[in-house]
Amino acid sequence: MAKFLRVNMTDLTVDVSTAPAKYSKLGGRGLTSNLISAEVSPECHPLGPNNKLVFAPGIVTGTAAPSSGRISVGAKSPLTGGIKESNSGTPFSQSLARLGYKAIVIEGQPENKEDLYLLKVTEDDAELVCANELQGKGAYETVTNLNEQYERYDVCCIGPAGERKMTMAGICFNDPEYRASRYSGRGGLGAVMGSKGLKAIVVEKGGCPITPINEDVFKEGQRKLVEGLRSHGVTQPGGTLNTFGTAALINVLNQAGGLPTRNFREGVFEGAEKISGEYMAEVIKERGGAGMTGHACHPGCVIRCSNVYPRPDGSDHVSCIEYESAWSLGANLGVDNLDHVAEMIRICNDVGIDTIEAGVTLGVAMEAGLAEFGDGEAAIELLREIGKGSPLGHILGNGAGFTGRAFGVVRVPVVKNQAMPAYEPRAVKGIGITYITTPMGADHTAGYTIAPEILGVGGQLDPLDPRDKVELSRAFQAVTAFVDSSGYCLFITFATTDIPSATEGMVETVNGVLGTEYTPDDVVQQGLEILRLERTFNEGAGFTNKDDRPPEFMRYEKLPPHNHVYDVPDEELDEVWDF
Amino acid sequence: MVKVEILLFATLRRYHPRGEGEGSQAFTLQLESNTNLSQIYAVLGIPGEEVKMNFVNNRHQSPDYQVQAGDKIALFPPIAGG
Repeated sequence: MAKFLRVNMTDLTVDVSTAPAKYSKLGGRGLTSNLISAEVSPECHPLGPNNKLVFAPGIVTGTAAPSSGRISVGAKSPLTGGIKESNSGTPFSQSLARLGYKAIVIEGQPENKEDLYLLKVTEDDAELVCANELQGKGAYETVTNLNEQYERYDVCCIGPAGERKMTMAGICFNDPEYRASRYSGRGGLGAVMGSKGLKAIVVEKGGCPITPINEDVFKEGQRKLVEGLRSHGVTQPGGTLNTFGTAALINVLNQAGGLPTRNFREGVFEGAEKISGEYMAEVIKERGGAGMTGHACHPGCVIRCSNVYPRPDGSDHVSCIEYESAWSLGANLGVDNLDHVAEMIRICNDVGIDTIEAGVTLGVAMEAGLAEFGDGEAAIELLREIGKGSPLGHILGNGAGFTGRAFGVVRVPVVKNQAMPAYEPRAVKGIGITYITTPMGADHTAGYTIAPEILGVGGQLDPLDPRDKVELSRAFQAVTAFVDSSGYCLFITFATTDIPSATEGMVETVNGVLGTEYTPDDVVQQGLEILRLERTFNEGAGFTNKDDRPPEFMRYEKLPPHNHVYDVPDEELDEVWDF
Repeated sequence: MVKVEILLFATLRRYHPRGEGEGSQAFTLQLESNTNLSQIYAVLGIPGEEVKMNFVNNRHQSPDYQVQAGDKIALFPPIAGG
């Protein structure tokens, strides 16, 4: 039977019990959002004792399904004040699922705020161990130390930013080689973990692969999905994701005039080539050593879009340089030096912060005059302040919105106080609808309309046309809510969107594991239900339609080169929720 | 005749007229005035099915778009990510 592990940080007890029947068909985001909705008051302080932090592997995680090693982390977000789910690809998720745990629920708060704890999870039990010796340690040192101390365990931890309860703090997981590099970065969940006095979780490797209830249906679905992933130009071995990583998008968005540059002042960056996936792949090849493309964030991934970026001497500098980070710490700061970008990603990974929120915050700080756009070394120094915990570091560490208020900046690209990712809404109108209306705060992964608007996946739409994008965004948000629940990487949808048999395969693997008979239409309905639940939580927290609005400057500042403002009307934004 | 500037990206860089080593560099082509994008693929020896996205002066265009003097053309294979 699937288990729940409840950890009470107030009285420092753990309880392993059979998962409640009402959650038996849920996983990932569907489970975290249901549980948070049922057990957490939307009015609670996100860093207080009444918030809960939930870790949930996806439905098919721990099986042989391809690219399915995702873990969802959910809580009330200290960054947005609304519900949050942030997911990551890591062996940790597979280990947790194979031990039979459907979820870990962290509750309460220790009386002594100085103490830190580590949660050790084995197949039948769990225990809280004092972890004061890890206080203040970066994620790299923490993962390395715990890997030495707990052989054959996967690791999850926070860095100093989470301990200090900064709202850009993320939760770090190990990759297959025990790098501190895989993040549930968004929404400040690291601060929630820090507020509970929990520095780290270690989960025993091994366990048993999940046995599907209907093995034949599962295997047939798995075959169809693997076939789809191996034949689609984006996801296939030797395809662009595998060869260049997600940063191949830098040049695409730059050519589309939608690469936010110098804190969302422009849509084209003259230095794009030097931070692109193509350039990165060349550097990796030239420098050799530890460098590699085609790296997998968890065993069993067919796509393998991650990478290891080497220093000039070939040593491991950071894993990984992905599109969002190359943009946020590159083009968004006017920085065209990939070694500087790599160093900034390394600092983010170590301090334990979200690279998107960090980059956008630095852009706002540059707007405020704390450094010049284009000065990579100054950006690195600013970022180090967060790790030091200086007064300036505390301002920056609380995100773009907070930093904008601290320095009187108007051009602050956030929705629900969460920083916008790497697609300019004024140049790609549909993704703006997703940023603005998702219960998560500005988040591209919540409904990736970039696929048809820019990439020609699932159709080809004019990105500059504001019309008829509401249903598109809603449909993408619904499917995504389900995929985030399944345990699959969102990138499988590039294949499933174009190849109907791959979609069938995805649904059949879920049916095989759960013993259900869902159709692709049911999947959309389930996604809509999750969205409705999340929206209801946010309403309870005080959100209204007025929070589903773009930052005002995007309504009146025209973005070069297309010179568009954000022109999807408010009434249409509200229609996303008419279902 | 019209003169256009071309940039190739990702796996298409191996079709650069000066070789893959120059793949990131823009180059110019002199073309008949009624040339469309798919004819440019042929000039460069790029199989049409390898091209997924065409941007001309930062706007999407289909393969039958007829080039204009001074166009800045960017050709991409299938790419996606996050």
